[in-house]
Amino acid sequence: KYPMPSLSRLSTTLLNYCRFSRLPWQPTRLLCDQPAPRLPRVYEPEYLDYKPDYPAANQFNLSFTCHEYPVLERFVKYAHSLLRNQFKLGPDNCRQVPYPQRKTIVDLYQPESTKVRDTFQLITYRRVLIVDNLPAVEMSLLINLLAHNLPEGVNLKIEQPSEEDDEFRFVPDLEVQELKKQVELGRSGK
Amino acid sequence: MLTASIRHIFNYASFGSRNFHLSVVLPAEPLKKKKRVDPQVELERIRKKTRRIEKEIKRLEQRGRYLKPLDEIEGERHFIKTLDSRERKLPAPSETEVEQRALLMKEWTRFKWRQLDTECQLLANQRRELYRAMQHLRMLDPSLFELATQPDESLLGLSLSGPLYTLPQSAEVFDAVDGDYRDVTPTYRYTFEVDKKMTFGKKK
Repeated sequence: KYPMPSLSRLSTTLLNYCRFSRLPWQPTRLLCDQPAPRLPRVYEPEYLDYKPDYPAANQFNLSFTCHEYPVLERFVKYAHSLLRNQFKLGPDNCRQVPYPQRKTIVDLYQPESTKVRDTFQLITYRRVLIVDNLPAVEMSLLINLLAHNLPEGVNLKIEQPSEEDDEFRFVPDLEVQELKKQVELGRSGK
Repeated sequence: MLTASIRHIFNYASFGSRNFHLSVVLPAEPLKKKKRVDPQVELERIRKKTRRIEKEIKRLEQRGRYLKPLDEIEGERHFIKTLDSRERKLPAPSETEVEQRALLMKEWTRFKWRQLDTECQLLANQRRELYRAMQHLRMLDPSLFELATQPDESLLGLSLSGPLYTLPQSAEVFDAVDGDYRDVTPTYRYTFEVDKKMTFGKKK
């Protein structure tokens, strides 16, 4: 990122640029497809305004994994803004959830032996977008767009949310687990 | 004390010493009488205990779960500690340099905005055509329209990956090495103690 210059210098430079540039000024177009506002229709039947139901898809997870964090962070930010602004999902319907990293140590062996010649660590970062209330017909649009824009090294998986998956985010509550075992012991019959 | 009393008998009894001899069995304690446990009482005891344990579980669950720390956000300790030694102190950029950077930033902003705008337009066009097609389908065949609006289960479980920087290399160029993967993800396990009152001990 470039360091911002002093305000007075920047403002004069930019003002001059804006005033004397020859670029054509284009008014900001509406990025969403909204119809023109209509006058209230008092004498027209109501059934003309009825629109068919487009049922929402069940809640699903967009799971992004990558070995490089900056790339992943930037892409997930893009996907999140896409869902909020273009697909009109509010903050309740589109949440980003971070998952802890998974570390793997890779040992490379010498040819035709198990003697280790090289060792390195691979870290897999994971971010999940939980999408809710997206019309089922628009799901293919979303996935096409994401698939075309996936950067190198980023993997996308579409899955259903599960509790075992979510359990990985939390520190295991060992005391509660032990107590639950005791309850099972008591119930099964002493 | 018991052996002393037996010795006493041995010494002062009227019968001969050969007929009375000590062995290991003699000083042993007699077997305790087995306590008759009322099954109802026992059941009630177990029920009370499980209820107490469940209450404890509820209390522990109420205090909330701890989230695992994220190294990529919190930062790695090693890097934070050595930040001073690795920081570069550069001279302030000249005015021309500053201006050039500002103009470059503007051009970049314009480029990115145009890119986003194009994408949004394409998406809006696609969406418009999709809904128009759906309307036509509804007029032609309502049952097919119903099917088309349902969620597509085949999309779940889909796995996509980004493009690769290089093309796949031939075996002569690329040496496929043998190796092993080891999962070293930290599991946050800690030592703890559970109150004895909350456990069902082993059967004797």
